[in-house]
Amino acid sequence: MARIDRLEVRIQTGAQGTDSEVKFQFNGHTLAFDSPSGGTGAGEVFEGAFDLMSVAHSIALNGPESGEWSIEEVEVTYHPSTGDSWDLRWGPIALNGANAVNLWQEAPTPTFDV
Amino acid sequence: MSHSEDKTDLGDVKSILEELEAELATEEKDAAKPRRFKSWSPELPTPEPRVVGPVTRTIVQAPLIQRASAVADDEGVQIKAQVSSDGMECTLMANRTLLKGGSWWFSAPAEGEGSLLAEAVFGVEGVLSLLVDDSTLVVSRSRGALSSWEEIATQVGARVRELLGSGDALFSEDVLDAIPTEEEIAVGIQRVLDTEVNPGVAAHEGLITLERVRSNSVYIQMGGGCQGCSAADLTLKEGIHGAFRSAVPGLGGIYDETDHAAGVNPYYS
Repeated sequence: MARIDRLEVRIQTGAQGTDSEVKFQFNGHTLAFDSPSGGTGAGEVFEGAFDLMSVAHSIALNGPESGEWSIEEVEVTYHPSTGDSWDLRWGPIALNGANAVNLWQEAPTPTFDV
Repeated sequence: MSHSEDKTDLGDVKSILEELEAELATEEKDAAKPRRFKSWSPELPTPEPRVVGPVTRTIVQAPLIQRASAVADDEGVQIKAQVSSDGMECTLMANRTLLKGGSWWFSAPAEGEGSLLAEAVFGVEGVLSLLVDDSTLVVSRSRGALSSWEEIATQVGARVRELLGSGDALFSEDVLDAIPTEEEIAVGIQRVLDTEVNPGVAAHEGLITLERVRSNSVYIQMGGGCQGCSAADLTLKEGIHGAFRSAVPGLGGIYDETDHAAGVNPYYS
């Protein structure tokens, strides 16, 4: 398990936007992003970051408190304490008050030609 | 006291002594027997209702967007290898289709007889099992293998490249004919989930769901207590794989949707 110093997200909203504050779960704790920018209206792009400084077990983006939020794409950049940063992109997903989308995946292992 | 009374008294004493001896013998006999204790269970208080906390959200998985193709097909056969984080498997990703429209699991060298690709891969010392899915090979090695993954993967890659160059059929007709239909797989997997797997993981508030079937590969989601559990991968590989393969012969890839990159070729798709 990696110790993550900083997490950065970029969320592209689809056709259904939301007015709810963007929150995420880190190891089961619900948090809001530091220095958020952009928006979560239909077609808008939200960007946020958080200095986690902790070992990651689980990270998930919460759905809105009410209504639905259709996400077109989420891009996450992980900055670990040691080693190179890595980023992942996820595709469309619909979120609501009862769910959250997983945003955690360990750093990919290196590849080599054979 | 008369003689007759004395006689009567002596008779009573004698009978009392006999009774005492009989009781003593019974007690000694009982003492020799193993003791049996009655089971005891405490009267537990009725549990109070649990305190309701914040809403527990269901964790869902969005599709992972794979990296764009790095190498075009006309640049020759290229194979990349990637060792799993636990070091148990190595995935080899080719820019050529190896098994079109399906996947196949070879659990041992004997199962590969007649299929040139499997025979070639099992010919590399240390290879224990082989999964072929479209353009991807997933190889496991025996615990006592002396060769490193780099050595094994390099040899496997060379043999695959040579076979692709020969133009020979990589698999026997038996393998291709034995691939079950998606409906057969869906029914069989759902049955084993309902009757074996989920009753087992329910103790940890886990729930395994069948997300979809693509050809003869299945994609599952590990939810509830399984989501984020450090033992999820072990549970999947040691327990669920075996249950699925026993229930559905001819089943190919088994992929956890939270690790989608393992199921497709992320570099050459």
